[in-house]
Amino acid sequence: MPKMKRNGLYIALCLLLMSCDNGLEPPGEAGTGSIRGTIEYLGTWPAADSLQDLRFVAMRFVPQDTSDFLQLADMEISNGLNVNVETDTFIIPEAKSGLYVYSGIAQQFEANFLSWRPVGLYTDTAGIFSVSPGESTEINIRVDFNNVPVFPPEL
Amino acid sequence: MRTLAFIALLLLGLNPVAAQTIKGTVSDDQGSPLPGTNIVIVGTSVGTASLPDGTFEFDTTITGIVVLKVSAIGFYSTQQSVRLVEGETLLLSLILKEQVLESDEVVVTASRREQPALSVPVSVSVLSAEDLGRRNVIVLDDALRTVSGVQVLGNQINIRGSSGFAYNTGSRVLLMLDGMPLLTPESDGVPLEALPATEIERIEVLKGPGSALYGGGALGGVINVISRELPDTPVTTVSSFAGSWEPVRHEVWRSGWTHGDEYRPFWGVSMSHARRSSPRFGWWANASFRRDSGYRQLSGRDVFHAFSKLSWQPKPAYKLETLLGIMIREKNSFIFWASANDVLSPGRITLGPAPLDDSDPNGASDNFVKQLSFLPVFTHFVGTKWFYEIKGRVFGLFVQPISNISGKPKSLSEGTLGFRYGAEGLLNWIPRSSTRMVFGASRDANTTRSSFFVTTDGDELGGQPEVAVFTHLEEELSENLQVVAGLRFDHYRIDQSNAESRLSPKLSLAYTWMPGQVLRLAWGHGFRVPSFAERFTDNRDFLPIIRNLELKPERSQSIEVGIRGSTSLKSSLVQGTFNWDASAFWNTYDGFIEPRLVVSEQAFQFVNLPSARIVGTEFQLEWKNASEQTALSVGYTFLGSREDQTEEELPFRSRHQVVTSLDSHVWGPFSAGLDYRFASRPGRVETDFARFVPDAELMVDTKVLDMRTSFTRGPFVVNVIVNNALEYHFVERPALLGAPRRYTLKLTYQH
Repeated sequence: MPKMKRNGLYIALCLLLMSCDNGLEPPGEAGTGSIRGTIEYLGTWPAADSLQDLRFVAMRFVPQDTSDFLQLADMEISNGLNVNVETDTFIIPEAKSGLYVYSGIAQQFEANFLSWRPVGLYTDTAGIFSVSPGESTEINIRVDFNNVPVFPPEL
Repeated sequence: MRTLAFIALLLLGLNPVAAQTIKGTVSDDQGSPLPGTNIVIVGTSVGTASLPDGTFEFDTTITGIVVLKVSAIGFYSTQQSVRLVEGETLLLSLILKEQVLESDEVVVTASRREQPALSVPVSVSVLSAEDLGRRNVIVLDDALRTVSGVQVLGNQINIRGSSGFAYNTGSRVLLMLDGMPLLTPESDGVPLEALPATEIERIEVLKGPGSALYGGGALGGVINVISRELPDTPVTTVSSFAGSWEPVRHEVWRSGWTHGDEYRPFWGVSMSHARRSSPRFGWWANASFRRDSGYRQLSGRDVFHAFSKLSWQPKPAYKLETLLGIMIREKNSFIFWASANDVLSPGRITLGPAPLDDSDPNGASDNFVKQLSFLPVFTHFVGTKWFYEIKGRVFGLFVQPISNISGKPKSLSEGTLGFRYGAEGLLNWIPRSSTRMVFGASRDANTTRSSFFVTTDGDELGGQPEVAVFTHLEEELSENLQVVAGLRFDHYRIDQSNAESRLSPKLSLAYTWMPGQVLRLAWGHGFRVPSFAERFTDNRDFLPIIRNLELKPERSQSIEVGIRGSTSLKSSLVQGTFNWDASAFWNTYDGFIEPRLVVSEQAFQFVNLPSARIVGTEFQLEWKNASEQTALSVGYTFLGSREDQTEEELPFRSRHQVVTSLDSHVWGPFSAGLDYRFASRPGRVETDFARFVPDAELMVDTKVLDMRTSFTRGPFVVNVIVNNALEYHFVERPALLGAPRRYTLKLTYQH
């Protein structure tokens, strides 16, 4: 093959390949904001052996069963909350921005890590709130241990 | 022997017939002895094959004038008339002329012996030493990515869709060195890093089940690395390379890591020497070291390995070869990213709501690994029609996790200690020049103690011994038709109360329907026993994985039809040599082992899927121009997969794969080349992993272009290589960014 033709083949191939896209790109920084909240507790606190852990959990989806608690990439979780108190506060300093549709206080009632249940839900604005980049979202939650929400939620 | 035969004939009351002996030597036109040459009396099955020193000898009762046919791979056959006188010995000195074949490629993996690639009845691709050298292949996965139908996902190899992404446990591809399986006791994939890339003659990739010949590990295929033959004159090779990873294209990614904006260096040196110290003894040895700072956080590695091959032939009929290897590696393994916005940082997951404290990320692990290999082979050419081989293998693996606090290796009790040892006996019988039979038996033991495994019988050093017997027959039914049949029985002990047995048959036909064009039909069974890791891993350090004691072996059945050809064209439009191969295959799998999230167990577990099938086609074309100054190759593979129960595609399989390669001599001492590979985004991505790892469901097409130039002057070669020249970002496996653009300068001296 003459050299001219061969070099032309190289150039044509390179041009063809360079017209390709760049592949994977960052999906776009969603940004983070903070979630701050206050909790009011009513009713009788559960026995200590069924209070393995207590946290605020904000979900970007409505869970259908306990296995959905494994969708950690779509959840924000606070540090452990105080127990046997009348009120408490929490903060998640870096929560992904976007809509949260099912949020509340979750109790771990056995050591098993799927043994969680909601004991109080955020119910204002139909239970939905949004987090905007760089901004703080404040919510209030009431927990009545004598009247805990049904789980899975009735749709 | 002749006396015994005489006595036996006397006892039978028969008169012995005097035997004539034909003996001599076969050599090429340069005077070098030619082993394995067939010498046959035409019209009979009387004949033999020459020994390693080119000598041969056989007896016959035929007298008078006969025609001898002398043939060897790569040489023109010749016929010679000779007169056999009763009771006398005929001495011959035969010379064969080397053949200039359109395709002189030979392979051994298809049937454990050297044969022309054109005529093997299965799909085999070959990468030559030249292919490896001009691409600066440091680790063999770089080379395997250029083979059609082969994908490398992390450190797992996928041949024609046989493997998806299996969390670095188990392999459906058997890796062999000179026909000996490299079965490390338990490792995180196929041990490609342990092999000496500079001492490789070629790599053969057998596509499709190879269990009938090679046992359980060969469900999806076999990669056989053939080491270099010893040279007649001493050869010393010194090479070094250095280069750097270019920072990734997107600022968002770079900002997630302190070193994200830096060019990250890598370098390495390698030294080899090969010589024949005497006609009976020779050796080669290779030592190399490389350091790679990695293009992601916590992905650096230092690797030292040394390999040696010793060959001792005290007598022409006896040969002892031994391969010895050691690898020492400190390696950070980046397992999954933090998110698609932070791909250079390892992620951190917690299992269920748990404190999000400042503990180290578990998306990476750091290990200090030592790996030892000892592979002796003894061959004895007992007679002209049969020889036997005894092969041994001992592997040791020592894995010590590195402490995040002290930065030093922890004790072995917190890591993995494993040994795999065994032996294989092979009896080769060549009753006629057209018939060849192999009988074999092997026994291996696999003992592993790991902090990751919980075995069933309280045996801290868990064992999984296995025995196998097998046979293999090749018969040339006519000049145009060859049949190959094989049967293998394997028996594995899983634990004290569980054992598994499997029978793997195969049958294949090769029909030369016109000169240079061979049709093939192959059918075979494959199987794979679950690896230790798949069965016994019980660990939550990185992902929640629990053991599955009920895990059964997976089985496969494969049917393939294909045609392979080689043609020379000298028209005014196109000149040169074309080698081409087209095939269609249908593979069914039963009990496919894949990881699944088992909600009731709150963890991943390896489970058997009911059944699945993968059908596909593959087409390969190679062209070299008449002066061999330019070479082009194109390969295309289509895969269609289906899980029978769910009617869904199998996850992590690309439907379309293309590999192309172009090399040419540009001017004077300069050559240039490029490789381009494309793999379509997997049609289905398993989303269980994405429950734990952000954006793990994100996958894109793979489009990678590697470019290279070389300058050769005397014993010196300079290579400049740009990998991923288009700076295309892709995902190597879920939540793992593939290699970005990198630049390499390599200097080689060979004398």
